[in-house]
Amino acid sequence: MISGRTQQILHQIVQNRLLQHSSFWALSLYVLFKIFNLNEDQSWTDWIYTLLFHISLISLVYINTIVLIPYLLRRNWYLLFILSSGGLIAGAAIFNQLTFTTLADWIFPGYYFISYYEYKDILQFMAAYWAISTSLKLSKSWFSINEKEKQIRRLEQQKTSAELQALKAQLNPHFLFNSLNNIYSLTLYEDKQAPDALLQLSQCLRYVLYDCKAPDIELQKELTFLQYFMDLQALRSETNLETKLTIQGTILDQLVSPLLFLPLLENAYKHAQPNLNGAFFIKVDCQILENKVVFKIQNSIPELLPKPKEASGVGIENLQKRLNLLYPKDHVLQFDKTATTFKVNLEVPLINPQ
Amino acid sequence: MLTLLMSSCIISLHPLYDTKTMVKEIKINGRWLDQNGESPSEWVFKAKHKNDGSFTGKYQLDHTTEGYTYEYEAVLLKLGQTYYLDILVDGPVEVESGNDGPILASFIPSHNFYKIEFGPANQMKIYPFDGDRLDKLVRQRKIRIKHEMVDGTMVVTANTEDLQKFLVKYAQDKEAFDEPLFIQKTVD
Repeated sequence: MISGRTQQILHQIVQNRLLQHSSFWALSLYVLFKIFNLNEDQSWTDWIYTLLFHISLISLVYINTIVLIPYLLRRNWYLLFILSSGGLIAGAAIFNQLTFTTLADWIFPGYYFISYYEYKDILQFMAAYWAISTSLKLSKSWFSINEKEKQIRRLEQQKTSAELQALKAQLNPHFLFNSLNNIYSLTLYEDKQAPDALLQLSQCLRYVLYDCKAPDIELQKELTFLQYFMDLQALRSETNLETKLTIQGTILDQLVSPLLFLPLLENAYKHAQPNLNGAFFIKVDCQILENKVVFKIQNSIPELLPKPKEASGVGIENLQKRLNLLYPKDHVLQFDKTATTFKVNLEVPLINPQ
Repeated sequence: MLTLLMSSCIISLHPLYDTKTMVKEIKINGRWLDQNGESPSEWVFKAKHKNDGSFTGKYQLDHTTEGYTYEYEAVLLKLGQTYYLDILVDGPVEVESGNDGPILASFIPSHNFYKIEFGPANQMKIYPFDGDRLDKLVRQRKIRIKHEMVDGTMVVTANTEDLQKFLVKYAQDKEAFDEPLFIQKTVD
């Protein structure tokens, strides 16, 4: 297996532009040398001949990749690109002939080089290098686009993850301050429930601060946390507030996104008041189905008070955002208000690990 | 002078001429004399004709020296503005004792090339290539032409087209040639 570091180094080497071009031309030199090699004992002059032959090839390839493809092909000027390419190939073939009739005498005085190919043969060489360079450039562009798309996806995932973390983090202060205030009240009166309450808060904090860092958490832990939360809230609640958490279905090792239900529970505690019938309650009904969990919560409300049909507040807004990010098309969040009761129905998928 | 011609030529498997470069007019037909050497020799070019009487572009060359006559096939050609003579040697010949042998001889059938200049008063200058210089350049690998070394002799194996390109370039250098052999036309 190749380690991540090694893979990264290899990736950097492969992506190195200078290395790519050097490798291409080294390979080209070798292949053409093998083609041009006339006599076994004349390798030196054959190398020079191959080098001279490459002057026009290099000119053609870089004019094609630096000028024609970026300025004509990428702007979809196809006809102009084809015409220009034809001109480039013809020009490079003429340049190749001139290399051996004139330029070679100037670069290597005292040597007698001639062009061993007809104009039509050189045209074929030039056309082949034009085709290779165009293909490589387009392939590279495709890989580059692909890489950028991957990068965009990675950034989007990171952004989503960061947003989720931020939304979860916004829940914590509410919970913490409320609970601390409750325990503070208990300790003021030296209530014997204080140590247990502190332990429960500790477990709740452990859950929120550590366990909830994972993208998914066991449903069992989430529901236990809710129970602790309700127990902690009971410490401060008026004695006649009736709270009940009912769980239906079998809890195995299903996973769910953490802290999804807490905002609804906090909202219920925030707004629960005795209704006209004298009932004062918060009822939580958690139904565990095969692939989803249905979380229903209702609290009593006084009819006379103007209440918005939709729940509001930072916690609920954050919950809505989280649900949209986590399960964009796969969740249900419904609010319903009657004269005496405010009801919320939340349905989210469960993950069943194999 | 005989020795000069024998040792200072380019030996090639392929001819220097093709149908495009062969001189179609009968230009060197006749008897030419070389009176510069110790033993004067005679060059007789006889135009070869096809059955329809038209000139083939080739000559039969009879070279006579010291009473011995040797036959070759010669072709006059023109590359650019320069004339060349391509003399075909059929291969090894038997030389009688007391005879210097033919002007040209080769262990294999081969073509030998010379630059030609026509001077005034029916004079022809035959420029052999400087063989030593050619050998030196080949050994220094400054000439890139397809060839084989056979018993220390370079036999060019490049095709006619490459030969023409090479000679056009190489002949631009005046040092490429030895001193010319002058022959004077005496009879058409």
